[in-house]
Amino acid sequence: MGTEKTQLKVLGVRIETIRLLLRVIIFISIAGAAISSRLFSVIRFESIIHEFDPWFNFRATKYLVSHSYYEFLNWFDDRTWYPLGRVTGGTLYPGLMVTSGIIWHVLREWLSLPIDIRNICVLLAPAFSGLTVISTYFLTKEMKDSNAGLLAAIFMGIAPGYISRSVAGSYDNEAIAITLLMATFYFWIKAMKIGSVFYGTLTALFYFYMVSAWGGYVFITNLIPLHVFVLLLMGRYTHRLYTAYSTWYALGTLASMQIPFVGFNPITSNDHMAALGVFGLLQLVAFGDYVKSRVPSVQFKTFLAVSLTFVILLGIAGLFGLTALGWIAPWTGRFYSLWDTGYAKIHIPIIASVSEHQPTAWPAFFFDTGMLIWLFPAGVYFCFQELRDEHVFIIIYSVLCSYFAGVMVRLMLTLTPVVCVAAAMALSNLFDVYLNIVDVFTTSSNEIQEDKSTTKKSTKKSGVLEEKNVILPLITKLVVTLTFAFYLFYFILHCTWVTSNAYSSPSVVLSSRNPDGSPTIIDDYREAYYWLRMNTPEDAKVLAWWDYGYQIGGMADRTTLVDNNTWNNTHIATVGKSMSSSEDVAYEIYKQHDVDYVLVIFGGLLGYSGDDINKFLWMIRISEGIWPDEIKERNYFTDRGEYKVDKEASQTMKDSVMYKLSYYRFSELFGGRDGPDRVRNQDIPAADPPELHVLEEAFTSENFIVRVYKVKDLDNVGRNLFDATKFDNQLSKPLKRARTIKRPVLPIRE
Amino acid sequence: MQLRLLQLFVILGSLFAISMAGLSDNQILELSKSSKNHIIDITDDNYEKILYGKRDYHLILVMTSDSVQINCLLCREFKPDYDIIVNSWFQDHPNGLPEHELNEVYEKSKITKKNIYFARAEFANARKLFQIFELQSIPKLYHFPPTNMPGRHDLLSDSNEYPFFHGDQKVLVTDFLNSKTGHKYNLYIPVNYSAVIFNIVITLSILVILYVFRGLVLKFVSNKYAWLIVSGGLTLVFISGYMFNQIRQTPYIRQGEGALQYFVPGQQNQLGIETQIVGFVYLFLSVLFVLLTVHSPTYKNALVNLIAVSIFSILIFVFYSLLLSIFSLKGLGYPYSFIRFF
Repeated sequence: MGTEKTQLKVLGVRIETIRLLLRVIIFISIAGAAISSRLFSVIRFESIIHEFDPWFNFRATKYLVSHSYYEFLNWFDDRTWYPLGRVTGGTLYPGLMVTSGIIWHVLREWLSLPIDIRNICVLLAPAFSGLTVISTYFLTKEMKDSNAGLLAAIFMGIAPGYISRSVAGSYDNEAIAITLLMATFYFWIKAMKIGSVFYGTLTALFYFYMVSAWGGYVFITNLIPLHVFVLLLMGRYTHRLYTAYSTWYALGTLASMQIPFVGFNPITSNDHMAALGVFGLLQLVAFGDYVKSRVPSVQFKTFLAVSLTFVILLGIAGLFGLTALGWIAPWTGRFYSLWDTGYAKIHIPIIASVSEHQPTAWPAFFFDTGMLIWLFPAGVYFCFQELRDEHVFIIIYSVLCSYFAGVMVRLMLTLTPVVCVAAAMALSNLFDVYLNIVDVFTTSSNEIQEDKSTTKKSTKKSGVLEEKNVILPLITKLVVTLTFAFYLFYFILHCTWVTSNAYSSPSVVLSSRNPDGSPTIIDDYREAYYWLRMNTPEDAKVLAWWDYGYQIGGMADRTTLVDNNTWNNTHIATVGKSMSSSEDVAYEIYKQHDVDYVLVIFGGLLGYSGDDINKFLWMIRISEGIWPDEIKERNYFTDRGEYKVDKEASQTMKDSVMYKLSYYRFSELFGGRDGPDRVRNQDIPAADPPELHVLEEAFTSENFIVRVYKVKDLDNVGRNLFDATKFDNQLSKPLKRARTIKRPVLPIRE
Repeated sequence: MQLRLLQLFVILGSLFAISMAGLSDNQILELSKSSKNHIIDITDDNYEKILYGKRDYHLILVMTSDSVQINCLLCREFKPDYDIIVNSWFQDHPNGLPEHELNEVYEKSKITKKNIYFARAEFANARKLFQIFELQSIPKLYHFPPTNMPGRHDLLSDSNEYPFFHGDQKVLVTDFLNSKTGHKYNLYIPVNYSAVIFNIVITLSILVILYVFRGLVLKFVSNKYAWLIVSGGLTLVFISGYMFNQIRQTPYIRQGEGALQYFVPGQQNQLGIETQIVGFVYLFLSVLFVLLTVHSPTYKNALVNLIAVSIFSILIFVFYSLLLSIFSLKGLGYPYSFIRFF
C-alpha cells in the first residue's frame, strides 16, 4: 500500500490534496444549496420577519443593539402586559439575540458594513443552517467515514423537517438551536471516544450556548446521561468515558446556571436529575473499578452486592425525601405531557390547545424527510452491525426521538438530524459496495490468481470467467447506482417542492390571485400596524387577542395588554371577557385598563379562516374559566347548539363586542343586501346592523382583515355613552354622507 | 319482598302525585335507600312524579347513557366518579341530615340546609325526559334546588347545569354541589383490592419467571439482534404514526360508501390499518435495502448476483412507488410518483 500512495497523483498533485479540495468545494455547494433553498420567502415576498414569536425576538434584538448588554438582561418591558409589564430580561433565552447582536457589531465596527439589524435577523437562520451542515458532517464522520459525512451534510441541508424552522425570516430560537445541538453532540462523541478534557470542555461550552438559546436544551441534558448509562449497563465503562462525562457535567452545569432564566434549575428541577444521578453513578463505578483492580474477585462480589443495595436505597430515599421537602421541584408539566400523553389533555389545556403540541400523523414524517424515512431503520441496522460506543448514541437518539416526534409535531425538528445521519450511514454503506467500479477490474485479476493457485477449476474456465466478470458486475453496480441516483434526484425535487409550498409563507403577508389569475399580495396586517404607528399617540394602549401581541409590539410599536408569552391567564381572560361580553361591560374593562384602541382580525370578506370569530370560542372558554357566572359558552350557540353568526345567531352573540366589531358596517359593502361571510358561509343580515356606542371605527384595512376601533372618552356633558350616541345619530342622520367603500374582489388562495 | 313493597309504595306515591306531584323528604329518602347505590333511577314512568311539584330538598340528576349504540365515552368515565360522590354522601349521612340541623342557615353562604338526593336517567329508559331537555350532548348534570311551586314547571329554568370542565370530575362536582347546597362533601374513594392483589401477583409471577428462565433472559438481554429487533421495531412503529393513533384513538378501519376504506385523505387524519400498511412498507423497504447492501455482495457468482440485485432493486422501486401512491392519496397535491397504484 505504501508504494501505491506515492503513485496516486493526478496531474502532479497528490490525491489527498485533490480530495481536500473537492471536499471544500462540495461543502461550499452544500452550504449554498442549504442557504438558497431557504430564501423562497425573501424572493417571493421580501426580507421580512415571519409569524408571531419571531417578532418578539426581533424586538428584543433591536432593544439589545440600542442598549447595553446589562440593560438588556435587566430589561423590564412596560409596553406589554399593560399595566403589569413583563420582566423580559429574566424570562427569555438570550442566545439568539446576543448572536445577532454580536454579528451586527462585528460587521459594523470591525468590517465597517452597517447592515440593518432586520436583515441580519432575517438571514440568521439560513446562515446557521450552513453551520449545521458542517457539524452534521463531522458528527457523521465520527460514526462512519467522510463519505457518509458528506451525504449526511447534504441531507441535513435540504431536509424539509429542518427547513420548516429555519427559512429566512423565521427568526426563532430553533434557528440556531439545531446547529448547537449537532455541534454539542459532535464534541460529546469526540470527547467520549478519546477521553479528552479539551473536547469535554468544548462540549460544555456548546452546551452552554445551547442553554442560552433554547428551552429544548433539556433534551441534551437527558440524552448524554442516558448514553452513558446504557454504556455502563453494557459493561463498557472506560476512563475516557469518565473523563468526558465528568468534564462536561461539571462545567456545563455551572455554565448553564449563568443564564438568568435557567438559574438554579439544573440542581433543583427533576428534569435535570438524570444527569446528576448518572454523574454520581459514574463516580461509584469508577471507584468500584478501582477497588476491583485491587482486591480478589470473591471479595469484590460481596463488596459490590452490599454497596449496590445500599446506594440504590439511599438514592431512592433521597429523591423522595428531597421532593417531599420541596428542595427539588417535581417534573415540569411540559415534560410530563411527553410521557403520559393524557396528562396534558386533563391538566394543562393551554398546552393541549397549541397546534404545535399535537401528535404527528404518518404523512408528516414522510413530508418532512422524504425517502430518508425508510432509509432510517436501515441506518439503525447498520449501527447495530458495528455497535461501537458512538453507534449506541445514535440508536438511543433514534428510538427516543421517534417517540417524541410522534407525540409532538414540533419535535420533528429534533428527529430530522438523526434521520439524516442514519440514512446517510445506510446509503454510504450501499455506495461503498456499488459505487466502487475499480473493484470490478482488480478483483477479477485477483480471482484469476486465486484460481491459478487453487488449481481446482483452473485453466478451462478462467478465460470465460475473465470476460464475464468485467461485464456482469459492472451492470449490477450500474443498476443499483443509477436507481439510487434517481431516488436521490427525486429526493431533491421532493425537498424543494415541500419547502416552496409549505414552509415559505411569512403569514404576515398573504399571497393570493386576482380573478385573471395574476398573483397579488394581501398586505393588510402591515397596512394596519403602520397606520397605528403613524396615527396614534405613542403611549396608546391597544387591546387585541394575544395572538397579535408580539406583532403589534414589533410592527406598530404600541403598548399591548396581552401577548404570545401567555404568562398570565387571568389577564388573557380579562381581554377575552371584554370581547365576549356586551358593550357596557367591555367599556368598564377598557376604562380600567386605559385602553385607547381595540383591534380585531376579520376574514369574512376575503375568506381568511384564521380570524377572530373563529378563535372566539377560545376567548369565551378562557374567560368562562375565570368568570363562570358572567360568561356562559352555551349562550353563544343557537337553540339547536350551532355556532352561527347570521340572523339565527343568539342574542348574546349579537350583543358581544367581538361580533359587533367584526360585522360593523359589513352589509354596507353589499349595498344594503345581506353580506356573505366567506369563512363561515353564512349571510350577515342587513336589516339589523350592529350598532356601536362606546367605540368608533378608526381604521379598516384594504381587505377588511384588520379593523381598529377607538374607545370613546367619557361624555362631555356627563351623559351615558349610549344616550349620547343615540342623540348624535338622530342629529346627523340627514347630514350623514354614505361612505363609499370599494369592495375588493379577490378571493384568498387556499 | 323488597321489590313488592317498593311497587306498592310507588303506586301509593303516584296516587298522591296526581293531586300534588313531588315527593316529600321522607318518601324520597326511602326511595333512595331502596335504590341501587342510593341513586334513584329516573324513567319515563316516574320522572313526572319525582321532578315536578314541590320539593323540600336538593335533587341532583345525571343524564347519561351506557348503551353501546350511543357509545358515550365521557359517560362511562364519569359514572364511577358519580357513584363515589353519592356513596360518600350516604356514608356520612345514611338517614339524611339530622332533624335538628334541617332548615338551619349556613353562615357563610346563607343557604338553608336541606337534604340532597341523587338520581340518574338512562337515555334508553327516559326518552321523553331527554326530549324535554333537548339535549345535544351527554353526560349532563343538573341541580334542582328546593321549590315551593306545585305541579308542572319548566325543568330547564328550574335547574342549574353543571359545566363539564377539564379536571378531576369528583372534585369539580363536589365543588359545584358545595356552591349550590352549602354542604361540605367528603370523598371516600374505595380501595380497589382486587386490582392491588392482581398487580402484586403479576409482578411476583414476572419476577419468578425471570428468575427461573434467567439463563434465557440473560442471553436475550446480551443479544445484539434482540435489541436490534426491539429498537428497530419501536422506531418503525413510531415513525408510522402509532402515537397519533394512541392519543387520538383513531378508528382501525372505516366503512366507506359500499367498500371498506383503508386510507383517509388529509394530512392530519389516518386510520389504524393505514399506519400498519405504511409501517410494513417502510419495513420492506428497509429490509430490501439491507439485503441489497449486505447480502447480495456475498454471492460469488456474478450472474446470480446480478439477478438478486435486480430483484431487490425492482422490489424497492415497486414499494417506493406504492408509498408515493399512498402519500398522494392524502390529498396534498403531491406531484411526484413512479407507478400509480391508485
